Amino acid sequence: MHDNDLRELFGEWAQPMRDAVPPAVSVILKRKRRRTARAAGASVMSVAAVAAVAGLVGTSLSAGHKPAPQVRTKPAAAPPYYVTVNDSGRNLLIWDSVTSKQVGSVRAPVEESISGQRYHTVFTALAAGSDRTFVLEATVHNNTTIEMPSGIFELKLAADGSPGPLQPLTKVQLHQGRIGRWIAVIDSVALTADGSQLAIATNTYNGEMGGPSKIEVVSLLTGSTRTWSAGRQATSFWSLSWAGDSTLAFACDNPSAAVCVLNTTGQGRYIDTSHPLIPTSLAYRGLTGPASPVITPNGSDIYAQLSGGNSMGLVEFSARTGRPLRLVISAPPNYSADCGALWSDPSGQHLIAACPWGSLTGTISHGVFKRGRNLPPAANHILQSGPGTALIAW
Amino acid sequence: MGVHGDFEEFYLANYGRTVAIAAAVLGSRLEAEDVAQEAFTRALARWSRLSRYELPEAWVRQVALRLAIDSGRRVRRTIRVTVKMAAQRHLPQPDAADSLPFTALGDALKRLPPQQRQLVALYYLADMSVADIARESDVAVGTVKARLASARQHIERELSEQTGAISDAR
Repeated sequence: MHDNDLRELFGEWAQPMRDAVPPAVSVILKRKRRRTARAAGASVMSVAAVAAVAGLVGTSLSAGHKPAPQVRTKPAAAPPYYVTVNDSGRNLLIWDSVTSKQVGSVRAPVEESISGQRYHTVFTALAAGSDRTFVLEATVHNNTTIEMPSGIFELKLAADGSPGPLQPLTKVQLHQGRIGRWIAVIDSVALTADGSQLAIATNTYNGEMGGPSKIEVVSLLTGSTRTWSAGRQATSFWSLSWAGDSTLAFACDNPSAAVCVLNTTGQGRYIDTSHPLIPTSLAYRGLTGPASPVITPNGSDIYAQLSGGNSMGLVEFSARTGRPLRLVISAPPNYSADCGALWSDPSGQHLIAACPWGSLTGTISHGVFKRGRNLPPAANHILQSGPGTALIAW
Repeated sequence: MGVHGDFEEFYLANYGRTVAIAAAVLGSRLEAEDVAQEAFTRALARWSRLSRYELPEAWVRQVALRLAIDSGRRVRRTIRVTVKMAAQRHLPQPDAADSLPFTALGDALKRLPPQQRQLVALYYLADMSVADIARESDVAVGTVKARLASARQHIERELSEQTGAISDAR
């Protein structure tokens, strides 16, 4: 068979795919929002951790949206450490947010098999927990096969940012990929303040439409798993964040984006997306469509993005009532890209947001967001667009 | 035209091609579409920089190929789950929409090592020259030629065996 014949055969084979009408670009925009949200959901956990360490937080919002007991917490300084994953996934970089300098790194191990094959470990950052703790997914592969056993690891940093050893979390397994006619994708992972429970949002797709989704809460101590789902409804959940160790806030389809809150005490069961805390229809200053929610560790507020026309803003909501309180950040005119909260301190008074015009840190005072220092350039880059996520931990 | 407008034009022009390249590596159109969408999502996230590249589609192609390899790993992990499900009599149904594994070429591709699958995708579907593939893959031109020849032989052999099997059946 001539090379040209084979090329023609490949052309015929690929033609239906090349000719297929791509899904609307809004599908890509939605995925991008989820990517940002995943970083946000993961990042905010570090703050919950701070609160727990300080012994100040005992928040428990209920799934029925009963008022949450708010806990007075001292405003904390900006978080000193970020962990980012480089493009190859083979290096974890640790950054000091105050000095903008890299303070450490963890190089993924390379092992050699008996036959001389070199196996690399590749990291994906999943979540940040208490006491400068990060949860990472590690996969192992070489350059010629795709056999890659994987595992979940925990990395703890010392007070000066230096990394400790990677500890395997043997009780956790992540299931992604093809399951029946669906492709399962983990869209968000969040660790509780005490580092004992991992919340995992898994959504399913078939290339054109979404399928049933679930939220699992896995005990890292026992491996026991509790599962919540919306039954057979085609819905999805993303942008998980914890308040305390029993309240999850997240984005849910209703059928468009809304913000749901779940009390995770008790056994897992049904998530009723028909009564979200912040509904899709909510309008504030001409902006609608709550997206990328992040609940503050004390459970008092939720930051979510609203958009409309050529404008968007980051809005602070009451986590008790779901009512909008104030516009915290507004985009420059005609700038319609995403801007989401990544981190807030236990009191909700310090905030880090990732916006297309630069990741912002600042303080909310009397309802006004005062811009502070920008995140380190390297962290900026990865926070917005890199593989995996960048994580922030106290 | 705004940021999203430029991106949309790029996306519409290159999506199908990216799906085809990823499908050659993955052997599944559905998974290839997921990989392509993820690659374009990453492109959108850094579009202000990428749009200044001479060939932003090369960046998307590279990301899609890397994701396809990673996705292959995840599929293997899922297979382990599937085996458990099968043991519990919850057998997943084959998806009729995902017909690639049932084509002769798709079947031949599936039997290639991933590295050769990637090479074949770049050469036959991305229309890259051997020299460009060698530069992008950071290997010698001779190595690319040898691997390509091996892959070609393998595909030809698979296709002729399948043709023979069909003839025998008739």
